[in-house]
Amino acid sequence: MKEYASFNLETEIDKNELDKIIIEAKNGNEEAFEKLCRFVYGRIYSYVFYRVKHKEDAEDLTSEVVLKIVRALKNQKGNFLAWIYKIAANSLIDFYRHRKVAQEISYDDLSQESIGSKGVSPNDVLMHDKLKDALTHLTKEQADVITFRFIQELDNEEIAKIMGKSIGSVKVLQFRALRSLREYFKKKGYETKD
Amino acid sequence: MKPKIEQILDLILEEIAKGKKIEECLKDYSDFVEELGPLLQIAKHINELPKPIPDETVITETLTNVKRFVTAQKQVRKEYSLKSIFSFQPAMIRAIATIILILIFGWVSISFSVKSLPGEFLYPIKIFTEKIHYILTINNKGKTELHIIFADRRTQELAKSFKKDEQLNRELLDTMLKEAHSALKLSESLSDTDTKVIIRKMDKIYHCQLNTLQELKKSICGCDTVIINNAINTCVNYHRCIEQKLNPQSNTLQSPCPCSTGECNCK
Repeated sequence: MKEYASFNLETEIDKNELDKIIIEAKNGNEEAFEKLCRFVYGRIYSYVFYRVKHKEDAEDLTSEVVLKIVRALKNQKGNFLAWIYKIAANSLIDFYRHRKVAQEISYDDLSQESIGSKGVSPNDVLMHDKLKDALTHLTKEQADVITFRFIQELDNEEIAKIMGKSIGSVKVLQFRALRSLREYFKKKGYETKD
Repeated sequence: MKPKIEQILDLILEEIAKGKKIEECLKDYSDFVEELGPLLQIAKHINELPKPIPDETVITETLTNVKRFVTAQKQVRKEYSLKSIFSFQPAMIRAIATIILILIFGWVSISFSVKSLPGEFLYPIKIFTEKIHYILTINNKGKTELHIIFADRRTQELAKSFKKDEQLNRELLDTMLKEAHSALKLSESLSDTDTKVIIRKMDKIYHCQLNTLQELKKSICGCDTVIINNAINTCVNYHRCIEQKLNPQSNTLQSPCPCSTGECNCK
C-alpha cells in the first residue's frame, strides 16, 4: 500500500461524486468547496512537484493554482480535470517566466527536504530527485503523460480527455516518454532496481 | 495484425496494475522483453514512489484563503441581490430612459400642437394625432363625434388663421366642410338614440360654422366672396338636413334636405 498524505487530501473521488461536489461548490456550498479544494490540492501538488526545484515552490504554486481554480470555478465548463491541469500548466509557465528559473534542475540542489519526511526512504528521495531531473529533459507532453499515468494513476481515457488527444496517441506518448526516461537514466548512469 | 509495441506496453501496464509481475507478463511477448523490460521497470519504480506530501500548514493556509474568498463572494452575492432589486443593468437603464424621453417628447409635442395653426411647425403633429385617434376609434358613434370635433377645430383654426394672415385659407375651409359632411353622413348609420345626441351636437357646430363664415364674409376681399357664399350655402343646407332629422314631420315638405335629394354641393 502506497503512502498517501498524512491528512485527507481526497485525491480519489468517484466521478459522479466529483460532479456533485463541483455543482454544490459552484452554488457556494462551503463544505463542497473544502472537499473540492482538498481534491484539487492533492492532484495539483503531485503534478507541480516534479516540475519545480523546491518543495516550497511547489506548495506556493499549488496554493496559487487552487485559489485560481476557486475564483474561476463559477465559469468552469467541460472536463474538470482537463481544466484544472490547464490552469496548473499555465501557472507553471508564469512561474518560470516571472522568476526566471531555469527549466533545468541542478541535481546538487535537490535534497532530502524536497518531499515529505514521513515514511520516505533516502532511496525514494533519490528516485524522486532523479525523476524530477529526468522529467525536465522530456517534452512537456511526455512529462505530462508520465505524471498522469504513473504518479496520478489516471487511465488512458482520462489522460486523453485531459490532453485533448486520442487514446492511441496517449499510448504512443507513454511509450516514447518511458523510452526517453530510460535513455536519460542510462546516459546519467542511474540504474533501476529490479 | 500484430499489435504495436506501444499497445503491448500499455497492455502489460494494465496487467501489472492488476497485480501481475513484469516477468509473467513479458512471457507472452518474448520478442519485446529486451526493449520493454527496462521501460516497465521504470514505470513500476515511478508508480511505487510515495506521493509527495505538502506541509499541513500550507494546506490549512490555502483552505483558510479559500474560505475567506467564499465568504466574501457570498457577501458580494447578498449585496448584489439586494442591489439588483433597486438597480438596473446599464442597457436596461438606457432603454427605459429612451422610452421615457420619447414619451415625454411625444406628450409635450401633442400638448403644444393642440393650439397650432396651419403652416406652423407642430400642425402636422396635430393632424397626425387626429388621424391616429380616428383610426383607433372603432364604432361609428365615436367616429361621428370625432368628425364633429375636427369640424369645430377647423372652424376655430379658420377664424384664427384669418385674424393672423388676413387671408382666407381655402384649403382649411374645404376641410372644415368635409369634416361636417362626413359627420352628417356617418350619423345616418347610427341608432335613433345615438343620432339624437349627435345631431344636437352637429347643429351646434353648424351654427358656429355659419356664424364664423358670416363674420369672415364681412372682412374678406372680393375674390373670396363667391367661395364664402358657397360655403355658407353648404352650411345652410347641412342645417336644413339637421332640422329635418330633428323634426322629420314639420320640415320635410317645406325644405327637404339637399343631401337626400341630390342637390347638395358639399362634395
